[in-house]
Amino acid sequence: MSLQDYRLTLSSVIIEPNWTSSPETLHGVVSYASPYDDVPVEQFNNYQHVVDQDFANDYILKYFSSFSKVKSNSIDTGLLSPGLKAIGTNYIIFEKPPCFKNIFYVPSSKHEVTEGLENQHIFRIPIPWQLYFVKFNKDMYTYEVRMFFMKTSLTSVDQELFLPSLPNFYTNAMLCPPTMDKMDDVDRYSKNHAGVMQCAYDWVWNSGTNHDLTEACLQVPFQLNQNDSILKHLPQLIYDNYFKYDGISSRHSSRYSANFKQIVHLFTAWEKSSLFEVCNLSWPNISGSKSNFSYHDIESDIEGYYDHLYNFISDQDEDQSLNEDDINYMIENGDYNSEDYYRYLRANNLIPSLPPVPWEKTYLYSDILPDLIKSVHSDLGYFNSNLAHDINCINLNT
Amino acid sequence: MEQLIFDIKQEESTFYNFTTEIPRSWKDLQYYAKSAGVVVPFYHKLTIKKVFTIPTSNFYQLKNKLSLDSFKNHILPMAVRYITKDNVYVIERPPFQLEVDYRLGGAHSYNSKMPPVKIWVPWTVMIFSANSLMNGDFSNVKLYFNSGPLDSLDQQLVTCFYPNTHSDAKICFSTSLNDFNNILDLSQIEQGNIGYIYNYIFNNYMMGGWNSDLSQNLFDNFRSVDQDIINKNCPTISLFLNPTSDPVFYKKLSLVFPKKYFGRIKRYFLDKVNLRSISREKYYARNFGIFAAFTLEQTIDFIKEIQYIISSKNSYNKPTLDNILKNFNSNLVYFDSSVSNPISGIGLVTKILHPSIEYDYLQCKVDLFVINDTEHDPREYYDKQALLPLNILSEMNYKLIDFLNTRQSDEHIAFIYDYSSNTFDVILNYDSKEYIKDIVLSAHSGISQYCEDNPSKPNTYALKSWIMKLDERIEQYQQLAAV
Repeated sequence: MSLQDYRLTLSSVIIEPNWTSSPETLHGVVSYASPYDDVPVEQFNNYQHVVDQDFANDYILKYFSSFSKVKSNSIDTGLLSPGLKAIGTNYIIFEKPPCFKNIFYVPSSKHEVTEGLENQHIFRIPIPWQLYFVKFNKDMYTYEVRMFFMKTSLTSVDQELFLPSLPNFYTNAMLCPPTMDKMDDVDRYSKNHAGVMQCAYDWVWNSGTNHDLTEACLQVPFQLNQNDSILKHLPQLIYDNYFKYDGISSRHSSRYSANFKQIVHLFTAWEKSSLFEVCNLSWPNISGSKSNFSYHDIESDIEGYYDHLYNFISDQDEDQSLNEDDINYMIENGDYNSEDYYRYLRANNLIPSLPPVPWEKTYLYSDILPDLIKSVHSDLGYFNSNLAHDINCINLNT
Repeated sequence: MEQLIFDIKQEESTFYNFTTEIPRSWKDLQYYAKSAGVVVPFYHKLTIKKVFTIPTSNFYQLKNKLSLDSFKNHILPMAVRYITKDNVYVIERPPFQLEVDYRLGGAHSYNSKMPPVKIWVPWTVMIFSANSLMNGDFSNVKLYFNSGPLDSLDQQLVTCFYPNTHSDAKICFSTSLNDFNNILDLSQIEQGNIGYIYNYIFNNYMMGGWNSDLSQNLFDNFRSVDQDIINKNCPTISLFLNPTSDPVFYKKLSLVFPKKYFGRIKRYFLDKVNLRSISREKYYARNFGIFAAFTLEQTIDFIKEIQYIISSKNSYNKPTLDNILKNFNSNLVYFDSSVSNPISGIGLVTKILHPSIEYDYLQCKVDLFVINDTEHDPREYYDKQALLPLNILSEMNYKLIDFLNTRQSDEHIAFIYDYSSNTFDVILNYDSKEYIKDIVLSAHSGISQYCEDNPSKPNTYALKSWIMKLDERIEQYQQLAAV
């Protein structure tokens, strides 16, 4: 038997309901021919088969489901908590209203967190509307969570989404997945959409917070005026000391990584805000599809940026150990502290104007979600079906 | 009967449409023949149409493309609480206030409207098949009340007891929805915007104006419940049944309607009134008055107490969300032929607009005779093809498809299905005129013989008169075969 012999025939018998009410007379029929004829189905000649009616009904429904206006799910969702905004084959989008949440912050990285959590700080902070984008695999296991802040409940695809200023988030609002000690922590959620929602929520709020990924926190002082943000509750002296923006970074941090005290001050100020206030304050913009804000392009865009680099490096070389070739080598390889150089340029008034900032763009729901939904396809490697595949699937399932 | 067939081969896929007709005059022939002890085969005319062909690779390309999730330019409505794999949606809505627009008569009556009152609508749970709505079928939308947000699939729901709701919670929409093409934005429906259509139908029901076409689904809840149980455990229902028992509440109730109108209906609030004796219109008006006097808390308590009564009844199939969804699905599969059954899938293919589709509408007719079936009464209008075992039906379909695609212009075949042995034969070079003539003449002679042999049997007169008619119509049968 050759490939040419593949044949799949799907038929459905419609009985006019006005002259019969017998449900048995309504049926779907799937018959097929394939090179694999050692299957336990009824045969009506040498190699053609017809499957039983229940399987046929289900098969035909699924076979044509992609032509429906509303896509169907492979399983029932389970009882969902309110707030579902969109649902797809392997993703779910839902929102949660403003509320107070406890943050259990441990000022160490994931690998340094000790069992006793002696250094744990607990903050009770008000949070605004949140939108969650969750990816899950075909077995209904959550594998990626994003959370955005919003000023109101999501009512339109043109609504703005903001960055949650919390540790463990990339600046594209993706959560660094928590590490689970026990398989039970991974497996305890029901294997449906309700379970996925619960799991995503727990990943964000009930898995602890450590000092990994703090760039999102730094975006508050970088992007916003003090009085428009939760930092308005900080004493001026502390704000000036820890968060004052001097172009790209403050004295106390790099652009990508906050120090422990900055995080504590941020949460201390945040705790002093009311629920009403956080719903009306400004929040930072996200970095689009990139997981970090990129400053490199900005620097190279500044006219005359490199003109003073040689002098900067040689000024830094207090014991004059570098020769000209060494300095040129360092310039070529970017082997210098770019933040210090940036401060040097500003302090000596060597650049004409402030550079553009990478967070100028505000992202809407409709800007972000199309690519995120597409990314699910590439994550899971969706298989393109064809006739041979469909027939083999029947063989496997009958 | 109609059969839709999608035949997918390696190179190309073809969509066929089979229909079956059973000539009415043949049924009479079978009936009279049977009365005389003569067996005449069942006779069907099958019409096979080839509707379109598409290269299989293009079909799969399209199918794969459509199966991928894509960004939708809309979001789901507030509080979608459950979606079944068959796309039955459960949408919840918290309480809100509503000004009642209610006509004291049927939809087409000229009766006056009840003076408007404001009521608290409790938590509502709407259940519908999204596929049905997207296909313009609004007949299967159900509305229930709840005393709070859903917290379990075992929660008992209360059938909506506002006007224009059937006792199975199905909403009877206004006639405006019959022509929704002119009302709804069809582009939203094409995009599958559930939120748009949910908001429309919810508002259409709540604010489209009610009338007294249907009875109120409230008494069923209290039927056969001991009055002592109500008095003891259900103070709000007790107040609803006898609003004069609380003077403060009754005073509030008396101010709900204009004084004159209240005066006309106030006797219906008295303790001794038999609520079953009140006309449907007045009963709704009475109850709207009480609902308008209820606070939100009382409205919720009223629902809670009905739930208490439902749960205390020994009912086999309690209206829990779980049971409602199970019944909803089975109803759809069996009776809603337009939507969620295997047929709809094949129907969807007919909507494909693809440049590589070739429409040709090639068509032919084939006769099917079912012999040796003494089990079924021809008057019952049994559709034999629908009752064929699936493997026989499938095999017959293949033969029909092959015949349609290879036949010469003057070539005919017929099928003879033997009901007792469950086998079928194909008559090649079939001459319908001759074949049918033989059956009719044989029946004619059998019936005539019966009349001669049994001159005094009660059916003989009817048979004789029918034979006379048959003589006149034999020519018609022959013509029928030639069609």
